[in-house]
Amino acid sequence: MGIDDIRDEIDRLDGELLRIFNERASLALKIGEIKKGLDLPVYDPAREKRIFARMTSENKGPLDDQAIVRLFERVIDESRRLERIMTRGEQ
Amino acid sequence: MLIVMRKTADEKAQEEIKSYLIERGFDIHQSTGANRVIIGVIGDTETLPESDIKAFPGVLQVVRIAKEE
Repeated sequence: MGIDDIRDEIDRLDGELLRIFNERASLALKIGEIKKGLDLPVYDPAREKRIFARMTSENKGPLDDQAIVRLFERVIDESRRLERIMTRGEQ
Repeated sequence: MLIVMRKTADEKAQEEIKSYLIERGFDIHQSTGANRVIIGVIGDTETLPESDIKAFPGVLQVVRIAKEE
């Protein structure tokens, strides 16, 4: 497999990641809506901790666990932002 | 604004400062390194007194980002 073939595969995976990120974000918005209805806080540290624990326990590399945590921190930060917008009606 | 947590700051200390910021409508970007956690605060941090942030357990340093003229 040459460099162009590998880059094509990376581009394909990036497209898949984009779709998955947005699918996940749509679900976060639904959670935000439910939290708004129940007057629950956006920040749920126990839930975030469970996500990190599950992702690192399922991690098979080559990314190490710290890298997985850093990546999911970004994903969770953005999900939390969407939930905040949903619950507070902010932009 | 960047908040640098102490090496010794436990999860409870991190959760406390993050709750405070999120409840006040700020977005945060947490970056966990091998030794330190850095919390980037997004929003109008002019309204956040440094002294209040520094008073939280586990906070080592608060760095304001200079405004562009």
